[in-house]
Amino acid sequence: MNETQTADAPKPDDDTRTPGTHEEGGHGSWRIYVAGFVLAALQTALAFAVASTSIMTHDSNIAAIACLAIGQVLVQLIFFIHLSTSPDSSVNIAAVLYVMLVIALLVLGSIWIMGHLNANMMPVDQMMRMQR
Amino acid sequence: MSDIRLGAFDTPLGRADYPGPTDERSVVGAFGFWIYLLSDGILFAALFAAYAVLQGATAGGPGIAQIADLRLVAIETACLLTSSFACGMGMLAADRQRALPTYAALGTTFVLGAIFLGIELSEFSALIAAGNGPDRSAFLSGYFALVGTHGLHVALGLVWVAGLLFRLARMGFTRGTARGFLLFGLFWHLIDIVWVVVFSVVYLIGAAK
Repeated sequence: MNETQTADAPKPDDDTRTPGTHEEGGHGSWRIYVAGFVLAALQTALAFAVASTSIMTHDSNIAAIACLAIGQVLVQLIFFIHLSTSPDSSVNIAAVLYVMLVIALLVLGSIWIMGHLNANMMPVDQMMRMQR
Repeated sequence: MSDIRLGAFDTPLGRADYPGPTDERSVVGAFGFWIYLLSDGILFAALFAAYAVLQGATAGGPGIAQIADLRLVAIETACLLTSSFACGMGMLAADRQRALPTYAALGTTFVLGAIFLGIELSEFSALIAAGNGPDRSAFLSGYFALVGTHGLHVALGLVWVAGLLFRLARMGFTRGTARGFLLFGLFWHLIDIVWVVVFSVVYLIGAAK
């Protein structure tokens, strides 16, 4: 939203606007939401179906659910939040990529370090015996 | 609308000077709020990390496979996804300054969000009543912290959208309500994105066969 845009100011040229969010006729944007909703619903249904069947192995079930989750996050970012790769939203994209890096470091780093710590911990009963 | 003092914030807008759908639906004009939402993502990442680390620390209590009711989670997920979609429809209606579709869409957003929260709270109270509260094990602490923080965001969103609809009823479509709808839409979509990760990581991977 442009707070300083005045009523008599010239409208910004079409090429300075975010491509993909500028629709002719106004019905295209409805279609974007509907397409996102259908895609997200399909991914959700598939993820629940994968979780409750045992056709695949446990590990491939988990991999499939993780991939569907990442896919759905991207679908919702693109179709609902309208994140695009246009020059206008390059700062938004940069912020998203940086936050994804922080999230990856935080989550994977925690699991990695705490996993090792856990593996190297002395079993509790052994520690109790030594304290006596 | 050359006057951008605070007092002009809630004066009704004509169609000509209303910020159009182009700017409304893009995140370009709400960069500060976008940064807040991303920092919220980091908050949830910390809770996810804690949950992932503590997942196995059940201290003899129930694990996620014992407490997860996938049927209820599926209903919650359907509610929140449809609610997010309805919120998007509400944004489009508000862009076009059509009052009735805006009330209908954002009313749907509110009702579905409230159903989600109701199911979640009843699950929480059933767990606590069975002695499986956050104090039972490290796993349950992580579970309640993660899912509860998400639920808290949903609750705040419900208060926010109710406030926006009251404001719309009192003031009509103003620059202020337009901004409110834009920011709430981003917030609500992000809450749904966080829920996608919650139901996948906590419930589906936890209960996967």
